[in-house]
Amino acid sequence: MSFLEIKHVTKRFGNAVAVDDLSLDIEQGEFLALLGPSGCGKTTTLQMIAGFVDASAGEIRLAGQLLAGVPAQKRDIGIVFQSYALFPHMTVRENVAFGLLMRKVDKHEIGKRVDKVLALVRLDTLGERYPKQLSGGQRQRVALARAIVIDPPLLLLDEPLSNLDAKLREEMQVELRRICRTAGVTTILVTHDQAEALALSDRIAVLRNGRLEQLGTPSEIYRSPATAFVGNFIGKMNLWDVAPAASRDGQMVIRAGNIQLGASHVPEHARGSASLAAGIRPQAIAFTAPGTERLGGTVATRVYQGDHVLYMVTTPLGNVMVQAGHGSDALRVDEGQQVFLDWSDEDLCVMRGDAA
Amino acid sequence: MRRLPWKPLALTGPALLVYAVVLAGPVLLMLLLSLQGGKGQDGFTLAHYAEILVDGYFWEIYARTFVMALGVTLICLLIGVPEAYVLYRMRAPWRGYFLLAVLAPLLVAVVVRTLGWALVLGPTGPLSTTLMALGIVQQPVSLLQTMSGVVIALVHVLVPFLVIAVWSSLQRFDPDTLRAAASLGGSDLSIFRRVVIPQVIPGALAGAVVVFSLSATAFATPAIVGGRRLKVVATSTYEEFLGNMNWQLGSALAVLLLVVNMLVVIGASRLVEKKFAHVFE
Repeated sequence: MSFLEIKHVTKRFGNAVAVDDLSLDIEQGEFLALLGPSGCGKTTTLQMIAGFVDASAGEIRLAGQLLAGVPAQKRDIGIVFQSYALFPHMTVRENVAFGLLMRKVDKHEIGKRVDKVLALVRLDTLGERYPKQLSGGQRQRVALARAIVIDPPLLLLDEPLSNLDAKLREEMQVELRRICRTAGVTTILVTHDQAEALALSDRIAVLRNGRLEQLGTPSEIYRSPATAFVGNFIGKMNLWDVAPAASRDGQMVIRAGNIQLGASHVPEHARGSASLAAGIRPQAIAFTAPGTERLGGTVATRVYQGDHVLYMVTTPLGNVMVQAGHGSDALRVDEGQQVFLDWSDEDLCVMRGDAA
Repeated sequence: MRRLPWKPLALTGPALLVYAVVLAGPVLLMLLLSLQGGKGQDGFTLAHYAEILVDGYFWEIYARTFVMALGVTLICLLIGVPEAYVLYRMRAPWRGYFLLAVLAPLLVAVVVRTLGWALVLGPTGPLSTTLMALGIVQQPVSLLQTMSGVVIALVHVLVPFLVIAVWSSLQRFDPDTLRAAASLGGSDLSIFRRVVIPQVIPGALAGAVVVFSLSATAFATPAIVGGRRLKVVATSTYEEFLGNMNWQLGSALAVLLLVVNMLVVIGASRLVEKKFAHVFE
């Protein structure tokens, strides 16, 4: 029995299905990300766990206990909202103390626990400030402190970093990871930001149109996306619709247009699928000498991005992204130049196509 | 040398001009009138103010006016704040209908509405007959010419001002704070008390100031429901002007009311600004 069990949960709003027969198990102490574009049902799922929205069908159990019918007030779940939802009329300390006050914890004890959690989020000196007097990153940490001070069995983070600018977001990712690990709390992160999900989570559940598209560790999801949607959503990937041409010993030859490609590994989730896609990451493609290439083309655009250069190459298979990193002699290829592309069979991912 | 902020002046100029002509002008005339001596006397005098300040009769009228205004304000707060919050929590179609219903008293002419209340509150009105039918009272009751009657009728028409003020402060209210409070274990009552109320206090106080000054200066309702026995400053002023033909004394009464009212309004706004500056932008 897992710590949090989501079993065949469906949520309908009128005729619209927000969450469609979703099943997920989350282990104690785990950090899980619900990742997907807006409208994929991730926030609705979070709200059903939190108790703000009732499921239309299915059940959710926390530590074995059925959550249906338990009001949000009684679930003891800590939540960090996208807007932070700090109480503007209370100081940082009062905000953090609120949950303990509602639990009628003794005053002395409240003081101690608030001190401890403010030290954990490194806000010990700002306790008497009001939310308005804090920066975005500080507000975020107050929201986090307020949610974890009650020692929740489960912590829900709803797009916690989306209101921060890019640099601060990276800093807060590190902070968030440290704080959640230190507190040892089971955490569910809802996000549309794949970088955030990859950086923070033990496992990622990719959602699309209310359905679970893939569940796995960040590296499984990144290295072996189950579907073209996942491949496209997580990082950059060149994707082609393909048809199987031959298959032997788990290896496969596939045909994309008129070109045959070899794939050294066909994962289970792709076998027997009616429609197939193949994908390769831009950084797995290298420029090679004429005659040894798998695919030829012309550089259409060259974009310098500091730590790497991204080329868009026009080929018989459409536009192909190629990323050349530092130390590569491919850094000085010009636009309009003819190039020859090569990669290793291992780097070609075979997955379910979008039509499946 | 500082340059004149000519742009804001030019933009607000026309409205300021209208105010000067239609508001400041008459008030200034009233002030001058209140400082004039009696018929045939020249020069300025404070005699009328002195007359008011030494006469217990006028003290009673001022006291009654402000007690009434305070009572109306408190009742409006007790009704208006929860009402605005309930409206805020309502869903789309119903919210519109109920908001309209709340604002409805403002759409009815003051005399019509007040006469309506006179009928309802009178000895043969529905209030009296219902109470008799229920056996709660044996004799017909009338709230006409009573403080309760005036307060009821004033609350009815002034509650919308409070609802609107609280409503507008709820517009900047983050509904996630309610969810946050619930997830932290707050009961509905303690969420309302600790999270909602403190956030709408500035709006409620602004509305209360409006309600207070409107009820302190109300004329038609005290005149029709309160009648001659329940005099307030506005009705006394009217009587001095048109009954006793003592315009100077009437003006002094009105100017004093204006001064006290302004002190209350300014004091309340200062309080809000000072106490809540750190909370709200």
